[in-house]
Amino acid sequence: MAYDLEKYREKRERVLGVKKRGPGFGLIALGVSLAILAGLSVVVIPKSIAFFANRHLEDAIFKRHGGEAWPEPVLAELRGQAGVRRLEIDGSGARLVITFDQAATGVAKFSAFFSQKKLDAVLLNQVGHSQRLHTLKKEAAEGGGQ
Amino acid sequence: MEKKTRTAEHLIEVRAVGKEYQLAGGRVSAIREMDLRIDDGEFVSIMGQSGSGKSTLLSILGGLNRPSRGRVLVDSLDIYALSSEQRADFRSEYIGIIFQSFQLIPYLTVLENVKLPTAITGIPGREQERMARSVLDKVGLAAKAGRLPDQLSGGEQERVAIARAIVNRPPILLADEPTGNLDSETATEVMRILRQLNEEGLTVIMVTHNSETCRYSGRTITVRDGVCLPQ
Repeated sequence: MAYDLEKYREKRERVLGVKKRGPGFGLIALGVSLAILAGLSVVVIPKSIAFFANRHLEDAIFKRHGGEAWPEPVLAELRGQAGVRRLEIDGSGARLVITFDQAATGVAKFSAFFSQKKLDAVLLNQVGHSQRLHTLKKEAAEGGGQ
Repeated sequence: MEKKTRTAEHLIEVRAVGKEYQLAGGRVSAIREMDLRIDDGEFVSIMGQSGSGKSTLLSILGGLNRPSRGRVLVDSLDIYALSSEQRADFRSEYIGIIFQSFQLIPYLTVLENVKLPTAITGIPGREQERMARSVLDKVGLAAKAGRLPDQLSGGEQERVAIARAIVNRPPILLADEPTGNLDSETATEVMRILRQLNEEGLTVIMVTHNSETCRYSGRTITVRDGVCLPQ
């Protein structure tokens, strides 16, 4: 007497492994691994990107001898120089932070430029751009800052 | 478009199966050669005297005992060609077994004994409980779910063994001398339960040496000296 093979199809598929009762150990292990990798990626990848984006940048901090403001035409010209990425005037209006590509330009060029413009600029500090950002973030977290 | 239905001739096919055991005294042939066909929904008795090979045949049908040669097909699955893990799944999905000596776990309650096969299938806990209580109700032992096996009579223990065998809703029930340890009145009660399960669609294969119990089955296969006698 013939019978319909569809009758026990689900049982047959479970025996043959076509239809699983639940996720297997391999699938669970893969899921956990992916979750860990995703978590690590969220932490590690942005830091890596930031490092590679900023590692060639330096910050030079200048101040005019008498603490006067920086003339806008000078800043505009400075902004157009090769290797200068960003200019920033701090809260007091006296300190000028130049973010630059150290492969293309340097502090000596800026000093020469200021001399040429007859500005008595003083170099206060030169520091890696990433390091300065880190310091600023730390100061902001501690409630200090400039 | 008309849906094409795949069909098989038989639920169980035993093809040229033989089984030898190596004992200290030499090689013993438990099954010389057997061919057998059992259809879906049949109630078959396998009858024979002690040592005839009937219990060996039952264990081979249940995927518990690899034959020395031949093939066993159940629902088109060649069960001894499966991996051991697949064969364990096969037993869980397709086979319920009632042992002659019940094989209940003495320190588990009736309900826990019946729930045991469902625990390894990944069925959620509440569903396990519901299924176990349902089959206990079917065999008339719902009120004794909290008792331990040794607080039950032989007939009641047999019914617990039946409940445990069918809790996973297998399509095939194998019974090894299910009435061997019971008085005639209790044996009749157990046979009625088996017949009722068969009428509900279960394929029942029962090994017995008692011709009286064979009358509950639709067909009797007689085994003698490791071969099936012509029917």
